[in-house]
Amino acid sequence: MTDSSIVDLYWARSETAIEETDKVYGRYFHSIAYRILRDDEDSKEVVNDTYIKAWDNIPPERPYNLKAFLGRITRQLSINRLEKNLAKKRGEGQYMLALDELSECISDSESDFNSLELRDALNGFLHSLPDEARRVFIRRYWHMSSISEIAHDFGMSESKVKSLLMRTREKLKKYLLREGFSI
Amino acid sequence: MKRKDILDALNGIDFDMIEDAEKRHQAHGAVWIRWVAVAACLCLVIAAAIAIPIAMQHGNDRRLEIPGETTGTESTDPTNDLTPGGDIVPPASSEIPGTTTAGESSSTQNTDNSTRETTGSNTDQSGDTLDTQAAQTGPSGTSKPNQPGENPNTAAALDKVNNGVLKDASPGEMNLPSNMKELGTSNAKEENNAEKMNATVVEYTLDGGVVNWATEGDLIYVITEGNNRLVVIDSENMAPTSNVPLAGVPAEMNIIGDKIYVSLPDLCRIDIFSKADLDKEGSLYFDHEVSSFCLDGDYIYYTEHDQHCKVFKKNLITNAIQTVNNSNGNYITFYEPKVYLNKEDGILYIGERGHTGSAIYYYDANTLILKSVFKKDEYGIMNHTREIFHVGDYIFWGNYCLSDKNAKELICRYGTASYGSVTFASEEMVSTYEGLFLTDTGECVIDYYEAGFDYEYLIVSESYNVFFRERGYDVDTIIGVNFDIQK
Repeated sequence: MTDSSIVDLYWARSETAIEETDKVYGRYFHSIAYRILRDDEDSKEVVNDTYIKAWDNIPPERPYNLKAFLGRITRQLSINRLEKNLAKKRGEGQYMLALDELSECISDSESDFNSLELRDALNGFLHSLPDEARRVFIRRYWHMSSISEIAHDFGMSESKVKSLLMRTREKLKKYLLREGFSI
Repeated sequence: MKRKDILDALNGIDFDMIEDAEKRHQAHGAVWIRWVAVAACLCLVIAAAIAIPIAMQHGNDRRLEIPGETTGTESTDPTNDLTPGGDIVPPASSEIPGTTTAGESSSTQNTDNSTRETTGSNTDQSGDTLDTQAAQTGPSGTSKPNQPGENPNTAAALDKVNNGVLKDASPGEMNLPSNMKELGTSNAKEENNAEKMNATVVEYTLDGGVVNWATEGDLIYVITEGNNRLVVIDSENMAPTSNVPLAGVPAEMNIIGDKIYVSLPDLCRIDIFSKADLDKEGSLYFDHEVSSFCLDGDYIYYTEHDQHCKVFKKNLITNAIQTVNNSNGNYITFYEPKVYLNKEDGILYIGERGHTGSAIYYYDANTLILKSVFKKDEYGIMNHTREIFHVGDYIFWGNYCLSDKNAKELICRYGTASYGSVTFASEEMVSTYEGLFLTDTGECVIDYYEAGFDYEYLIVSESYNVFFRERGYDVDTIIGVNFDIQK
């Protein structure tokens, strides 16, 4: 079933919309959630929450790319869930490790910035990177893949992945400073 | 700005980049890595030659127990998931009557014989004991298999080999020292064999990346991308005997009878070559970018060449096409699927590959009605290879062994790592990304990561020479270990 057919089902308020979404993208959303949460039950709940969000938002939304639209929601819900778990001292994933790594270039200071501008800057930065560096960076900080997973999937050694990420973070820091962000 | 702001803002980046990053991509290894890998490869083979017979000898009454997994029962609802609880018993090698490899090499039906003969050849060398013992080894014990790296014999062997024998390894002939007998065995017969075993490490670098390969006797057939060639290599001396251009970028190769079939997705066709002289004999044309395929008389089963693919059955005489559909009659898509046909039982296997979760589906090859499916859990497994191996009555997919009749009948799992997908399976051994396992006991005899082993696929030629392909994409070198074991 195509994205537009599934979106049509949401617009028709047909409950099969969720079923069809799960058939086509359920595993994908689960993998996004699982990488961040590293807990099967939590991941399943996040995927279910994603469907609820989809039900609430379509309509009025009519996403052209349903996978992208709901994938982003899944990632954000997973991060929210993880923060909640961490507050309760349970759960652990690549999220905290990724945050630690980013501390090399982001100082965690309070400053005003426009989140849309930051998003656009990140888009520009990532497009400026060589393909390999961009893919590794996104796998690490969007998908929250572990270093070993990335090394495996890209046929690299772990040390190469680490050094590639370190160089990219350094570039990001310079790029954001040049774009006027206070970091 | 806080670190979390970056992670939050990343949520809004272009999704094209996100999808692009989800694909696995190639990274070329440095030259030194290749030589280190050559050394590691020899470590593997030496250790395997020693450890497998030992492990088999000590492997009586072993049973693989994996918490939370079970031998499922036949279900009328093919989408039912397995119910946790219960023991999983690996197939005893004595129960496996034959070997059909349906792996990347697509060696499918024809490699069947060579693989089986390979084992026989091995028997002539150090394997007399090996085969006999394998047949005696039953799955009815209770002891747990070693986890990767736990086999003390193997660990000791690897340690000694790494530190004492191969640290100065260079390509060319390598005479294994007489102290090999010390490598973790007290078996006199093994010692004698080890003393007289020579191994030559050879490699052949192609002009393009290896896409797919297969062995027939001592010939290695390879299709490559980048330069788009079909190459035949004599494994005896690792010299190419034939090399012909392909019209497009190849995806998969099947050797059937005296013909070689190569799918060319960008041209929507399969080109047919004579196996004897690689002369092109014709083409099969499709309306889709054909990728994985299997032939059965007048019918061909094939997949598209994409991430989410439909699977088709085409009558080559009438050109009538059926699509694999769901119960509502709508077509369904599979993630980077590989198809393999079990002609004897009339079952079409569709195995997905993807780090987002994969499943293997068993379809009735005639009706294309779903018979059963194995997903492991609701969302499938992280399967890193596209391969399906058919050995005797068993299907090896991901790092699972299943009944070839019913996907619900989970036999066992080799290793525990999510990345541990099977890259080779035979009656004796199963190789995954994680390590080398005994087929019948599930025991891990070599942990590849501990051994520094970084190979992806391996094939075995008729004279039991082993060939490895490095991990990664567009890998252009095949590394071979030629055994010359003199009793």
